[in-house]
Amino acid sequence: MASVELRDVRKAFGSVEIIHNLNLAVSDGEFLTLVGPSGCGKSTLLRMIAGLEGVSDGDVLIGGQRVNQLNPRERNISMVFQSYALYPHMTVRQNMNFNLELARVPKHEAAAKVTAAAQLLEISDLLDRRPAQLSGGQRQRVAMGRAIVRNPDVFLFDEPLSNLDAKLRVQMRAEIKELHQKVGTTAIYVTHDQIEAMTLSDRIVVLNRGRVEQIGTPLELYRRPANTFVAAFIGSPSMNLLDAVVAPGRDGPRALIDGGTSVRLPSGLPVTEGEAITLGLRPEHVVPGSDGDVIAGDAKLVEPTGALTHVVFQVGRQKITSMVDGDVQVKEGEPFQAAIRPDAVHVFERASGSRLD
Amino acid sequence: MTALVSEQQLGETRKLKAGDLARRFLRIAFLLLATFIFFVPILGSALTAVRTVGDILNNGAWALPQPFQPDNFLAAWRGLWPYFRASVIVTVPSIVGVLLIASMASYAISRLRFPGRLPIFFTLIALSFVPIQVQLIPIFKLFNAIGLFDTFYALIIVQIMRHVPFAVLVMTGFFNTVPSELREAAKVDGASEWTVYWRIFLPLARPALAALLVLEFTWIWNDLLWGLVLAQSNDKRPVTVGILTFQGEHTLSWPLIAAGAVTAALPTVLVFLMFQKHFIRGMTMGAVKG
Amino acid sequence: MARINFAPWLFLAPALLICGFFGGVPIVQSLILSLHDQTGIGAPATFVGLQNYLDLMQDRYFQDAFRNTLIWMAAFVVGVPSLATLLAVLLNSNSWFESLCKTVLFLPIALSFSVIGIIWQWIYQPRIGLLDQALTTLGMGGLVQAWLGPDLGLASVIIAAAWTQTSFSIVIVLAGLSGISRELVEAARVDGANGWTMFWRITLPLLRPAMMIVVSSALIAALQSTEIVLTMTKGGPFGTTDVLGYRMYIETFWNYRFGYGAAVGVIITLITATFVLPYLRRMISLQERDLR
Repeated sequence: MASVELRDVRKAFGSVEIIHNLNLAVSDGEFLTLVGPSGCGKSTLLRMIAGLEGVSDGDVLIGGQRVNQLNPRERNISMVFQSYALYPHMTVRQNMNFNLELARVPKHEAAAKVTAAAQLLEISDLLDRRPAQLSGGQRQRVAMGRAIVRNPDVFLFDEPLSNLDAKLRVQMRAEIKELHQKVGTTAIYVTHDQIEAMTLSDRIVVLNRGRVEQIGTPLELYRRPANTFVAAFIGSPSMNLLDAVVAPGRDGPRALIDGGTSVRLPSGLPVTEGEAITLGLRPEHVVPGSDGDVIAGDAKLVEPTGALTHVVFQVGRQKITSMVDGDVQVKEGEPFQAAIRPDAVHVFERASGSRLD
Repeated sequence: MTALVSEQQLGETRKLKAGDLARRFLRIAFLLLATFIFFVPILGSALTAVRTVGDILNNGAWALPQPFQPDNFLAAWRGLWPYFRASVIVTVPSIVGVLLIASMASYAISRLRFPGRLPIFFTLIALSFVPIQVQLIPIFKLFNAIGLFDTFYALIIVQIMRHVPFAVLVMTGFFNTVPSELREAAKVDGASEWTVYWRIFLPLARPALAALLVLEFTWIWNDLLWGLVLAQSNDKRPVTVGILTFQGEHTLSWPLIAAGAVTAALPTVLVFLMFQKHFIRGMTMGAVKG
Repeated sequence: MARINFAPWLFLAPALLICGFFGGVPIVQSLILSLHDQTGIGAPATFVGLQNYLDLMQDRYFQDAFRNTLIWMAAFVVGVPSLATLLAVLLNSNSWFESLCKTVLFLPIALSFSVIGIIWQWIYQPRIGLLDQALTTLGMGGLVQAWLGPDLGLASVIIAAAWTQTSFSIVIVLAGLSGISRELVEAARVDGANGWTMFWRITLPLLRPAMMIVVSSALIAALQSTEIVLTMTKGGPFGTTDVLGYRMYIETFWNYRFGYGAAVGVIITLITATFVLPYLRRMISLQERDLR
């Protein structure tokens, strides 16, 4: 087990810079997720930690040691790939044993390790099959087994669940978490799926265009997104981001949105009257009947999901999504109103998108 | 109304069926004829091979053997076996060399990044189109100068040189289809570049290698010109040259010559019949693509 | 800062050494040799500029060989692709009958030119040969010809060579046909295409890549044909079946005129290049797409 640290890391392919001067510290035993839209550089970053990709500038440290010049093996990391990358011509046992064999681990010792890992992952009865004879979930387990047998310092996961169907994904997600809790190895996990990131991680790094937008625990990111990018990325459905202007009110400054509606801002914000801001309202906080400021408009789209129904309603020129109880009857085209409490209102500077408070 | 339409359609289908039948019959008849014409040369030679000269002169080239004379094959084998030996000695190492050298080069071209990668690949491909006639003389002179003329080494080197480019084309195409994550997984597992090639890519390439094996066997075994130019003594000459010598020794004894030709053709024909699928896959992998 | 990566070069070294040294260098050497006069392997080589090429223009043997090669190419480029396409379209099915036909039709690919030469010599053998005997037996004795004589010799040799070249081409066209998606054919049928329309408007255009290979390999085979002439006729009678490749072989290895032979080799290479290059360019662009 070991900590991982990136210091002023840059990566450029030719003249195109993919990662800009990035700093990151992962502590020993932590489960850290790199999340971001495709092309944000998260996979490149992971591959740089793995040693599959060189760094253009800066240092990669594992366990406090600079590993820039070391190959993947020497870094003592192991990796689970998106396609699992199981060797098709080898049995599960051979797949798991391959890295032990290359490390010249004595045969009986290697066999014991494979057996133990297989038991841990409950794939003992699959050991003599080939990858082609396995289901998606079984392959996933074998890939994790291969990663685990050699007892690495760091686990790297590159979107390991994206090839699975929705149901299996939820199940494997839980298994990965359980596995991490059992072995306690430092894990760095890449995904584009924010729910995976939220459910699995100790901390999340939100990446966008090769830069860190925010680092924090899942709830920190949810509760206090540092900017509109993180605000929109974390949470589902996405946070409503509305253009607004600060206006005075009886009980403190209010945000004026289109159509004359206004909501009270949390107290103590460094805003001035007339300032252009972006207002962030989570759909789950825009609910009918609760106390707070009322926002009213016409329902444009009603999407029942069972327990909850998503209602998109129009206020002036802006559309707002609200999450209402599945039993509430809402009809498209009819008036709809919901309310939000001031402490659930996020405020961002319009120009930079940074959080104000 | 609907009934009318369906009746009309029914009529059309029936007409179509009659036309189809005629077309199918024509197709089969034509195929039979073409196949027969293509087969007649082989059939005639095989027939001649088990007859006697007197039988042919008396009863014509297409009569059934009278007497049946399989001894021709014994005589042919006795005359040809030294050449067979030479062919085997040249062909086996040549094939191994071609497969090994080409798959190594293809691995680098397909999986590694280095300056000049594409130009090198395209130069290799272009080499497979270079006419043998522009290489014959300098190579003949070179092997004379360095004392390799009339040795198996000369033939093996030349066969590898001539066949590596095509094999590189086939193998590169195959390696391009192997997911790149496999190499990365192996690297993470601690494999060196050679281990990735030898333990992962080469075993995965078995179908491509099998196809190339059959193809290269046929081509190298069947080469005539290099054997003619680079080998002089009888024990160095491959069977393609040997059968011509054999023909010269038995002028006009057509049954013996035919038996010789059939014997000489047997290895490649058998391999072809046994591994036809590989053979065709190899040809198509190298040729038709996209 | 970046380490030089030796691995690619170690993987490539054997191929580059063998193909470069024994395949590439000789091309340049032939080019240089063709500007020299050298008779016999140990003989001194004197620089003569383009004299060998000028002499070739005046050389009656060369002229005959050149003309015959052109005829061969024309016959191949017209005959082989069309026959191969016809047969391939008819064969494009996997039932037992077609499979059997394919096996037989492909068989000539497995034969060496030595064997092919001997078989066809026996076919064309005057009077007692397979062809004349077949004609006589079928009561068409009037058609008996001097197949390998001055009039028909070239055609007879070309047919023998076409036998195996067509086999090869059928394989390629069939591969092209199997690459045509079923959905596309069905879409065309829904659009009302059938029979001829289907063939000319759908099948043939989609066969373009395969046809390109068939045509260029037919051209190359015709242009570089040497072995079949060597085994069947040795260019005779009176040079009527002589071709460029055989000329090169004779001038070099029988007459020991190395410079002269090299010039013929260079000419063959230049002609090859003119029609291989477009094909090569296409192949390269395809490969570039795959390798990026």
